[in-house]
Amino acid sequence: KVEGGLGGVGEGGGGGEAMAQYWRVAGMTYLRYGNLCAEYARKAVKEGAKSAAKERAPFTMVKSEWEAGKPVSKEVISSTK
Amino acid sequence: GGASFWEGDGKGSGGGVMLWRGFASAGVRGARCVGLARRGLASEAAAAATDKLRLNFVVPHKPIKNNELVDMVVVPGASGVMGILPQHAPTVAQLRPGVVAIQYGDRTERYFVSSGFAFIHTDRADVCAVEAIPVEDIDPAAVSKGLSECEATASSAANELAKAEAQIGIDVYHAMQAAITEK
Repeated sequence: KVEGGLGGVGEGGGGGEAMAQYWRVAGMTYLRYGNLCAEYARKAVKEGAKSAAKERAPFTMVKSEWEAGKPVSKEVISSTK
Repeated sequence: GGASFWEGDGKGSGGGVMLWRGFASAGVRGARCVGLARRGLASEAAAAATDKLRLNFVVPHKPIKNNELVDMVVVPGASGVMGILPQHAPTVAQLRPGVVAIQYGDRTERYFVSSGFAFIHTDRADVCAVEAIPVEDIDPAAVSKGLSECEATASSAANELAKAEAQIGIDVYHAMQAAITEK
Protein backbone atom coordinates (compact mmCIF):
# COMPACT_ATOMS: atom_id res chain seq x y z
CA LYS A 1 0.00 0.00 0.00
CA VAL A 2 2.81 2.38 0.78
CA GLU A 3 4.78 2.88 -2.43
CA GLY A 4 8.08 4.65 -2.92
CA GLY A 5 7.76 7.41 -5.48
CA LEU A 6 7.16 10.70 -3.75
CA GLY A 7 7.98 9.28 -0.36
CA GLY A 8 10.53 11.94 0.42
CA VAL A 9 8.55 15.03 -0.47
CA GLY A 10 8.67 17.72 2.20
CA GLU A 11 11.38 19.21 4.39
CA GLY A 12 13.83 16.81 5.97
CA GLY A 13 14.34 18.77 9.17
CA GLY A 14 17.63 20.21 8.00
CA GLY A 15 19.52 16.92 7.93
CA GLY A 16 19.66 16.82 4.14
CA GLU A 17 17.90 13.45 4.06
CA ALA A 18 14.46 13.23 2.52
CA MET A 19 12.53 11.74 5.42
CA ALA A 20 9.04 10.50 4.63
CA GLN A 21 6.25 12.55 6.13
CA TYR A 22 4.18 11.07 8.95
CA TRP A 23 1.12 10.59 6.76
CA ARG A 24 3.19 8.72 4.17
CA VAL A 25 4.56 6.48 6.90
CA ALA A 26 1.03 5.82 8.13
CA GLY A 27 -0.02 4.58 4.69
CA MET A 28 -1.54 7.66 3.09
CA THR A 29 -0.89 8.89 -0.45
CA TYR A 30 -0.19 12.53 -1.31
CA LEU A 31 -3.48 12.61 -3.19
CA ARG A 32 -5.40 11.73 -0.05
CA TYR A 33 -3.28 14.14 2.00
CA GLY A 34 -3.97 17.05 -0.36
CA ASN A 35 -7.69 16.38 -0.57
CA LEU A 36 -7.95 15.91 3.18
CA CYS A 37 -6.23 19.27 3.82
CA ALA A 38 -8.73 20.86 1.45
CA GLU A 39 -11.68 19.18 3.20
CA TYR A 40 -10.61 20.50 6.60
CA ALA A 41 -10.08 23.98 5.17
CA ARG A 42 -13.50 23.99 3.51
CA LYS A 43 -15.20 23.11 6.79
CA ALA A 44 -13.93 26.27 8.46
CA VAL A 45 -15.27 28.74 5.95
CA LYS A 46 -17.90 31.37 6.80
CA GLU A 47 -21.51 30.57 5.91
CA GLY A 48 -21.71 32.57 2.69
CA ALA A 49 -18.89 30.82 0.93
CA LYS A 50 -19.51 27.48 2.63
CA SER A 51 -22.30 26.22 0.41
CA ALA A 52 -20.27 26.99 -2.70
CA ALA A 53 -17.33 25.21 -1.15
CA LYS A 54 -19.36 22.13 -0.27
CA GLU A 55 -19.96 21.37 -3.95
CA ARG A 56 -16.25 20.97 -4.44
CA ALA A 57 -15.94 18.08 -2.02
CA PRO A 58 -14.39 14.92 -3.45
CA PHE A 59 -16.65 12.30 -5.02
CA THR A 60 -17.34 8.68 -4.25
CA MET A 61 -18.84 6.15 -6.62
CA VAL A 62 -19.58 2.46 -6.69
CA LYS A 63 -18.30 0.39 -9.59
CA SER A 64 -20.07 -2.89 -10.16
CA GLU A 65 -19.19 -5.60 -12.71
CA TRP A 66 -22.06 -7.62 -14.11
CA GLU A 67 -22.11 -11.03 -15.76
CA ALA A 68 -25.15 -12.84 -17.14
CA GLY A 69 -27.51 -10.38 -15.56
CA LYS A 70 -25.99 -10.52 -12.09
CA PRO A 71 -23.45 -8.29 -10.40
CA VAL A 72 -20.27 -10.24 -9.71
CA SER A 73 -18.13 -7.59 -8.11
CA LYS A 74 -18.61 -4.29 -6.38
CA GLU A 75 -15.98 -1.67 -5.68
CA VAL A 76 -16.20 1.68 -3.96
CA ILE A 77 -14.10 4.29 -5.75
CA SER A 78 -13.17 7.44 -3.89
CA SER A 79 -11.33 10.37 -5.42
CA THR A 80 -9.32 10.70 -2.27
CA LYS A 81 -8.03 7.16 -1.75
CA GLY B 1 15.47 57.10 -52.64
CA GLY B 2 18.66 55.15 -52.35
CA ALA B 3 19.57 52.00 -50.55
CA SER B 4 21.22 51.95 -47.13
CA PHE B 5 23.29 49.18 -45.78
CA TRP B 6 22.64 47.60 -42.37
CA GLU B 7 24.57 44.87 -40.72
CA GLY B 8 22.66 42.75 -38.30
CA ASP B 9 24.45 41.12 -35.37
CA GLY B 10 22.49 37.91 -35.34
CA LYS B 11 19.96 38.79 -32.66
CA GLY B 12 17.08 38.20 -35.04
CA SER B 13 15.72 34.84 -35.94
CA GLY B 14 18.15 32.67 -37.83
CA GLY B 15 21.32 33.68 -36.00
CA GLY B 16 24.64 34.51 -37.55
CA VAL B 17 25.47 37.82 -39.16
CA MET B 18 22.78 39.21 -41.37
CA LEU B 19 23.25 41.82 -44.01
CA TRP B 20 20.24 43.83 -44.95
CA ARG B 21 19.93 46.01 -47.96
CA GLY B 22 17.67 48.69 -46.67
CA PHE B 23 14.77 50.36 -48.39
CA ALA B 24 14.26 54.07 -48.30
CA SER B 25 10.57 53.84 -47.75
CA ALA B 26 11.28 51.05 -45.35
CA GLY B 27 8.93 48.17 -45.77
CA VAL B 28 7.80 46.19 -42.77
CA ARG B 29 10.48 43.62 -43.36
CA GLY B 30 13.41 45.96 -43.63
CA ALA B 31 12.77 48.26 -40.73
CA ARG B 32 11.76 45.81 -38.06
CA CYS B 33 14.04 42.86 -38.46
CA VAL B 34 17.33 44.17 -37.19
CA GLY B 35 17.94 43.30 -33.55
CA LEU B 36 14.37 42.11 -33.04
CA ALA B 37 13.77 39.94 -29.97
CA ARG B 38 11.84 36.73 -30.50
CA ARG B 39 8.11 37.06 -30.84
CA GLY B 40 6.18 36.61 -27.63
CA LEU B 41 2.87 37.19 -25.93
CA ALA B 42 1.72 40.71 -25.27
CA SER B 43 1.31 39.81 -21.60
CA GLU B 44 4.96 38.78 -21.35
CA ALA B 45 6.05 42.00 -22.97
CA ALA B 46 3.85 43.97 -20.60
CA ALA B 47 5.36 42.25 -17.59
CA ALA B 48 8.91 42.79 -18.76
CA ALA B 49 8.18 46.41 -19.51
CA THR B 50 6.71 47.19 -16.12
CA ASP B 51 9.10 45.13 -13.98
CA LYS B 52 6.27 43.19 -12.40
CA LEU B 53 5.81 39.52 -11.73
CA ARG B 54 3.31 37.67 -13.92
CA LEU B 55 1.22 35.51 -11.62
CA ASN B 56 -1.16 32.64 -12.18
CA PHE B 57 -2.88 31.53 -8.97
CA VAL B 58 -5.17 28.58 -9.61
CA VAL B 59 -7.29 26.03 -7.84
CA PRO B 60 -8.86 23.02 -9.57
CA HIS B 61 -12.22 24.70 -10.13
CA LYS B 62 -11.05 28.12 -11.32
CA PRO B 63 -8.17 30.55 -11.82
CA ILE B 64 -8.09 33.05 -8.96
CA LYS B 65 -5.45 35.14 -10.69
CA ASN B 66 -4.88 34.75 -14.43
CA ASN B 67 -1.83 36.45 -15.92
CA GLU B 68 -1.99 39.07 -13.21
CA LEU B 69 0.88 41.56 -12.91
CA VAL B 70 1.89 41.87 -9.26
CA ASP B 71 4.82 43.24 -7.30
CA MET B 72 5.48 40.19 -5.17
CA VAL B 73 3.86 36.99 -4.02
CA VAL B 74 4.72 35.33 -0.71
CA VAL B 75 4.06 31.60 -0.56
CA PRO B 76 4.16 29.15 2.38
CA GLY B 77 6.80 26.71 1.19
CA ALA B 78 7.28 23.40 2.94
CA SER B 79 10.75 24.46 4.08
CA GLY B 80 9.86 28.07 4.82
CA VAL B 81 8.02 31.17 3.69
CA MET B 82 9.23 32.32 0.27
CA GLY B 83 8.90 35.77 -1.23
CA ILE B 84 8.80 35.66 -5.03
CA LEU B 85 9.93 38.81 -6.83
CA PRO B 86 10.14 39.37 -10.59
CA GLN B 87 12.98 37.40 -12.19
CA HIS B 88 13.24 34.95 -9.36
CA ALA B 89 15.34 31.91 -10.17
CA PRO B 90 13.26 29.01 -11.50
CA THR B 91 12.23 26.67 -8.73
CA VAL B 92 9.47 24.37 -7.55
CA ALA B 93 8.20 24.71 -4.01
CA GLN B 94 5.80 22.37 -2.30
CA LEU B 95 3.33 24.38 -0.22
CA ARG B 96 2.21 23.58 3.29
CA PRO B 97 -1.10 24.86 4.70
CA GLY B 98 -0.59 28.60 5.01
CA VAL B 99 -1.12 32.01 3.49
CA VAL B 100 -0.38 33.13 -0.06
CA ALA B 101 0.03 36.91 0.07
CA ILE B 102 -0.17 38.85 -3.20
CA GLN B 103 1.21 42.36 -3.16
CA TYR B 104 0.14 45.17 -5.46
CA GLY B 105 1.93 48.33 -4.37
CA ASP B 106 0.47 49.17 -1.01
CA ARG B 107 -2.35 46.62 -1.18
CA THR B 108 -2.03 42.96 -0.15
CA GLU B 109 -4.48 40.16 -0.81
CA ARG B 110 -4.17 37.16 1.47
CA TYR B 111 -5.52 33.69 0.72
CA PHE B 112 -5.26 30.64 2.92
CA VAL B 113 -4.23 27.62 0.85
CA SER B 114 -4.70 24.05 2.04
CA SER B 115 -1.72 22.60 0.15
CA GLY B 116 -0.27 22.68 -3.34
CA PHE B 117 2.79 23.72 -5.31
CA ALA B 118 4.38 26.90 -6.58
CA PHE B 119 6.22 26.70 -9.90
CA ILE B 120 8.48 29.68 -10.46
CA HIS B 121 9.51 30.12 -14.10
CA THR B 122 11.85 32.69 -15.59
CA ASP B 123 8.97 34.87 -16.71
CA ARG B 124 6.07 33.99 -14.38
CA ALA B 125 4.97 32.29 -11.20
CA ASP B 126 2.28 29.59 -11.10
CA VAL B 127 0.83 28.97 -7.67
CA CYS B 128 -1.42 25.91 -7.64
CA ALA B 129 -3.50 24.99 -4.60
CA VAL B 130 -6.22 22.43 -4.01
CA GLU B 131 -8.26 24.94 -2.00
CA ALA B 132 -7.72 28.68 -1.53
CA ILE B 133 -9.83 30.79 0.81
CA PRO B 134 -9.61 34.56 1.28
CA VAL B 135 -8.44 34.99 4.87
CA GLU B 136 -11.42 37.21 5.68
CA ASP B 137 -13.75 34.31 4.79
CA ILE B 138 -12.32 32.04 7.48
CA ASP B 139 -14.65 31.38 10.41
CA PRO B 140 -12.56 31.52 13.64
CA ALA B 141 -15.16 29.67 15.70
CA ALA B 142 -15.27 26.82 13.20
CA VAL B 143 -11.47 26.65 13.24
CA SER B 144 -11.33 26.34 17.04
CA LYS B 145 -14.06 23.74 17.00
CA GLY B 146 -12.36 21.75 14.25
CA LEU B 147 -9.04 21.93 16.07
CA SER B 148 -10.37 20.54 19.35
CA GLU B 149 -12.24 17.79 17.49
CA CYS B 150 -9.08 16.75 15.66
CA GLU B 151 -7.04 16.82 18.85
CA ALA B 152 -9.59 14.57 20.55
CA THR B 153 -9.60 12.19 17.58
CA ALA B 154 -5.82 12.09 17.47
CA SER B 155 -5.46 11.06 21.09
CA SER B 156 -8.10 8.35 20.83
CA ALA B 157 -7.17 7.12 17.34
CA ALA B 158 -7.47 3.40 16.69
CA ASN B 159 -4.56 3.11 14.26
CA GLU B 160 -1.73 5.05 12.66
CA LEU B 161 -3.80 6.07 9.65
CA ALA B 162 -6.64 7.56 11.70
CA LYS B 163 -4.07 9.35 13.84
CA ALA B 164 -2.38 10.76 10.75
CA GLU B 165 -5.71 11.97 9.39
CA ALA B 166 -6.44 13.77 12.63
CA GLN B 167 -2.93 15.19 12.75
CA ILE B 168 -3.42 16.68 9.29
CA GLY B 169 -6.51 18.44 10.62
CA ILE B 170 -4.51 19.78 13.55
CA ASP B 171 -1.84 21.13 11.19
CA VAL B 172 -4.40 22.75 8.90
CA TYR B 173 -6.36 24.37 11.74
CA HIS B 174 -3.23 25.66 13.44
CA ALA B 175 -2.21 27.22 10.14
CA MET B 176 -5.68 28.77 9.75
CA GLN B 177 -5.46 30.25 13.22
CA ALA B 178 -2.08 31.73 12.38
CA ALA B 179 -3.53 33.13 9.16
CA ILE B 180 -6.34 34.91 11.02
CA THR B 181 -4.20 36.35 13.78
CA GLU B 182 -1.32 37.61 11.60
CA LYS B 183 -2.14 40.89 9.93
